[in-house]
Amino acid sequence: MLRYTARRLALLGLTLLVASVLIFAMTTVLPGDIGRIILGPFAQEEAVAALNESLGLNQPLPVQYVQWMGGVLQGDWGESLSLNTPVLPLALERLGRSLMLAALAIALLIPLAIGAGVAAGRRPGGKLDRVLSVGGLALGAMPEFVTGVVLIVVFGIALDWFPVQAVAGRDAGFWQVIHGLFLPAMCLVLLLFAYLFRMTRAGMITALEADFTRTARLKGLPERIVLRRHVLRNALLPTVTVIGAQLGWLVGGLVVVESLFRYPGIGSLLHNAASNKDIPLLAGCTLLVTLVFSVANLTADLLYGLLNPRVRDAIGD
Amino acid sequence: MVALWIVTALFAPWVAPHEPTSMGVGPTMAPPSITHWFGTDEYGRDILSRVIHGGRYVLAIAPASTLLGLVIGTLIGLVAAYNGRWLDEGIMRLLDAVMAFPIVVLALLALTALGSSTLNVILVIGLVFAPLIARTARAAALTEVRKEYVEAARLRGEGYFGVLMVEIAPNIRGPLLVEGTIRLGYAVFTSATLGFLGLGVQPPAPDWGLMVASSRSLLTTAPWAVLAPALAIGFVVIGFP
Amino acid sequence: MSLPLLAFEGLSVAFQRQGQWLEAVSDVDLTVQPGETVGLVGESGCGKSTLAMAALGYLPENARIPRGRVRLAGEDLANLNQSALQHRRGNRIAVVYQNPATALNPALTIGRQLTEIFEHQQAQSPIEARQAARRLLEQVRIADPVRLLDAYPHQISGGMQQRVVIAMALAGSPDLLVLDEPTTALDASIQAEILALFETLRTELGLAMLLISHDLAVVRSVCDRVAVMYAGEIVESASVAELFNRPRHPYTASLIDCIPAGKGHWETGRLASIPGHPLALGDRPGGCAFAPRCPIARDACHRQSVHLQALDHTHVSRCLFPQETALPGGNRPPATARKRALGPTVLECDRLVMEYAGIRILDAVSLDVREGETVALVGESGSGKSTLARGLTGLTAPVHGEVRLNGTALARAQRQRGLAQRRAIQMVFQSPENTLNASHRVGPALARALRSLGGFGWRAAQSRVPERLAQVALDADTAKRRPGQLSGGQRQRVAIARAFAGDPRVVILDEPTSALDVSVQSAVLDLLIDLQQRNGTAYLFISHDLAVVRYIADRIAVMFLGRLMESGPVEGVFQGPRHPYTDQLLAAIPGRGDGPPITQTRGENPGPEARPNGCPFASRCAFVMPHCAETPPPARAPASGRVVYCHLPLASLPGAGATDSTQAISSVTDQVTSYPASRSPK
Repeated sequence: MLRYTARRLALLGLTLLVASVLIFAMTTVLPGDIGRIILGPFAQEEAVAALNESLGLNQPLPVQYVQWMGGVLQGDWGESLSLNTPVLPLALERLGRSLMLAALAIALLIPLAIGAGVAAGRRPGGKLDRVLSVGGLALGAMPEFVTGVVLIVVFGIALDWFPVQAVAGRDAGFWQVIHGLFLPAMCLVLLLFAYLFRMTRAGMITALEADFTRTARLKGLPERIVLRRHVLRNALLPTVTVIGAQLGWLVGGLVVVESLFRYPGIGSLLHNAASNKDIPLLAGCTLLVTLVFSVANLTADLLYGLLNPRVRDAIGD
Repeated sequence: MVALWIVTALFAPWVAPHEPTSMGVGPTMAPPSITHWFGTDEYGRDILSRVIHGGRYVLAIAPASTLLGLVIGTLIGLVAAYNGRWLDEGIMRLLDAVMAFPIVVLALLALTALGSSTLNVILVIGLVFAPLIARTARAAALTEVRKEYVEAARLRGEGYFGVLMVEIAPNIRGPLLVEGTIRLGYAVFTSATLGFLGLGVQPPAPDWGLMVASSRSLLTTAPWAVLAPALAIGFVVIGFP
Repeated sequence: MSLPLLAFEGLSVAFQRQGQWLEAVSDVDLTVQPGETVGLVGESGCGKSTLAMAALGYLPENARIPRGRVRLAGEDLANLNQSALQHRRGNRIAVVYQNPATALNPALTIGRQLTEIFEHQQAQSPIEARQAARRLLEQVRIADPVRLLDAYPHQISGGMQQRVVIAMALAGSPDLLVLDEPTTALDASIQAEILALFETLRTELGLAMLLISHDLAVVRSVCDRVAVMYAGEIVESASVAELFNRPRHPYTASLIDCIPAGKGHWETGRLASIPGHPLALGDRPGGCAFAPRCPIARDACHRQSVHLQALDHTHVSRCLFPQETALPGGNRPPATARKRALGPTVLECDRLVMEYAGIRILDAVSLDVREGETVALVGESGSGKSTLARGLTGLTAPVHGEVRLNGTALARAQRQRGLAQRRAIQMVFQSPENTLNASHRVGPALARALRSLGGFGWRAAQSRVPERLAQVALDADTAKRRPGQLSGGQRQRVAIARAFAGDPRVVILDEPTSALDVSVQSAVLDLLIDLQQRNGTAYLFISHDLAVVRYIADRIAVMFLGRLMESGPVEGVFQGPRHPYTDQLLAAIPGRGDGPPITQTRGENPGPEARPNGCPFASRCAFVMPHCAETPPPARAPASGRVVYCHLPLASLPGAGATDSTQAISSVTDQVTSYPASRSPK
């Protein structure tokens, strides 16, 4: 287990390093003349040159990278060009809000998708299975803003069950916050449902057809024990990894959903940064998001390692 | 159903009653009516025409980017699986790092850097999908690489690319095809999302995602402006698989 | 007669495939009395596994029973509801399967998988259950039961896994144990131990057993009665002695003559073979199912359907002319002319060392093969024999040592060898499924081989394909098919044709027939012999099956844990003084005399990382002495051309005149290789 953890941690470090280089490359190197982009085509040459100088853009690339990374590690993530406030505190605050939304979405998703997957896997080809499979597939394939729009129109406007804007007031109670977040969370759930459902279902089917299930049944154990103790444990193990994989889509979904519902999370911040070509903010947000995402993936991997006896042994790797 | 969309998209200029960008062909924000089946938007543009023309972008972007991703991804996956050990480890770690970025974020970053245009969108989506496809290709190829017919081919003296292309590639067709169709759906999804975020084609082009975004504020007053393109996206995406 | 524990009464089982109902089992009558061991023998597709499933009432959704019934201790299974059925399972009747690794749940400890049986069936508390589980593990002779209780399946070896599966089957104290190919996936010596365990359990617990296997030798050594299945029907059933000494159905007689066990080298007589191939599911012709392939078939056989007739009170046969069945040996072709003389050494390796991930798999192995000769390479899993094959062909480059072809050293890596060298050394692999590229048709694949190895042009290669196919006894229109449409035997023949495309000097065969049915195996072996006699090709034949080795090989080399234990002419090794490991392998052959082989339990394989400096066999040797593990054993030469690496002096080696297993080997040989005047009417 220790070797597994160490390996994953090293991987994390490597990933973040590569990620930072990629971000740096895209935000600094590619766009070309940064000063020009910021000030627009009508600015004076001298103004552009002065801005470039002040941003430290005339120095060799590796030096710029090191400077930037140095700043990052010390907590100085630069200042947003459009909002004129330091990047890090802003990003962190927005991150907190996003995490709330994400947490609600996951709390709704997991029981729904796994429950549905287990039920469908027990009777593949049956009515429930077909409805869920097709429905889930259809919903998952639609972009979040489509489902979001439909949800808003139906539940927010026509039926008026939920508010259209997701932010509750400052002193709103817990349930009110949830109430406000419900529509965007459902949007995310519908997006992620299909894949998790399908994987759980496949895991169930494989486990049900496995030799060890046959052994368990032929030992004379009643079906419910066979299911609970033998089948589920093996069927659900891969879902941990699947959930980890879904996190990427979750983050992407956050960007869209937050924009659609005008929710002040880090997703919408990213969107704004991109639209305004606010490079420091964009770089900072991306870095933060990648960091959180990687850590979440790492946690999922470690959880899987803990649960899978083959990996848990010192030998396994 | 897909055929319908493909046909209307291809023949858009003849089918659509109005130019998608011409403003003021009708009253602004008019609800659906006989003259304007989907109503008009805040600039008085006919939404039906815009939706029809928007289909062309989807038609161009989705298959092209999927194909690009397939080609690159399969090649990488095959090489990784066949070479094994160091090269495989190296490639997979690199892919892991790239995949550490959530797709939309990566696309966002790339398009901001490169600028938004149809070609760039195709490029970015294709490149972003390539690692995922490489994963699938590699997994499928790994099961084949162990099999004895590959050894037999090596014993015959078949060259490196010979083995890859002639022996292994035909046997991973199945999983790749499945992956490809799934990716196609996701390509539509992603390009629409990028449009929504304003990163795809720029206004006043009638990209569906863009239309949803720009009409968002009209939700309460003129929902048809938002619904029409949204539902259009929905239908196409369901139709594909 | 007391109530049989298990009775199939006219049972038929049908499966639904693509809308059609096809019968896999037809009108089977079979009983198992308390305390008796019944064997069910047949080749793949004959329906024996379906019968095993039916005995437990565990048929899949797409199966049904159109006729007949299954009775467990008198009760008709069809009348039992689900919970009653569950109650019987594990309690009255239990099953042991072929693949122990997959039969165990990887996510639960062994202990849990055992205790749950006790907790459920006998409502015991967890503590009582754990005690009971421990006692059970002791009963199956596991050395350290307490440690095993907390272990996971992937942490223990295959042999131990199978013992655990047996323990689980015994937990409910069943009266009847159904064993479906229980030892097929295990090494020979482990198989011998498990068979001995069955014998012990039989005497200790008075268990009745239904043993299902394709391996006639195993069935012969363990069972009281045997039933032979073909195409879903029982074609003969009798006591073991009767069946093997005087079979009354042509299929049984042919099968007995197909197995290499108990027969000598092919020069003394070839194996029988059964022409044609087994029926596909639901493909039953009118009349006797075996008639198209039967050596004594006549018109009547094709026209009327045949029922089981009782020949005497224990012997039944489904044949119209049972008295005309050949005696054992009667279906074998007569001995062929003397084989061609051997030539000079064509392939040799000198102190070859191979490693993988830093572990030394092969430790200084030297071997040589002469032109026209067959050298058998024998060893269990982990011995390094496949690795040696890879080193010789250059698929994996050795770390030290040299490989020479006709005296010239070869490049270590296959890529660096020239065309002539590549052509001269080819390989045939074990698994018929993966040996051909599933996407390529046979004709073009063979043509490609003819081009790369035979040096022919595109058109010349294509024109030669039918002739090459004929050489391996395949029709010309096989060229149009894909491997998925061919049987296992046919695929191996194509693989052989492919290897012979460039007229190789040496062909390395890695367990080429292990995955094939008995009747197909004998045909492929004969094909290989014919090709060798015609072309003078040398063979390095890797196998774990000593009976096959005795039939086909001239010399034998025995490996253990990456080192050579001994080498020499086959008969010399089998009948003269030999290495203790070889002795153990010989003793593990079932069919030694008339009872199961006696083996002493010893430690598990140490594995290549823990190879001792001295003799690698030290931890398992019955004759081990204190210095065996430290000092490398010297080379002893009991006869010319033989070498044995052992610390024992020549006179003390097993087989050096003292009592040992050779008596049994020759007694089996004597029983079966006599040639009565052939009974074939044709």
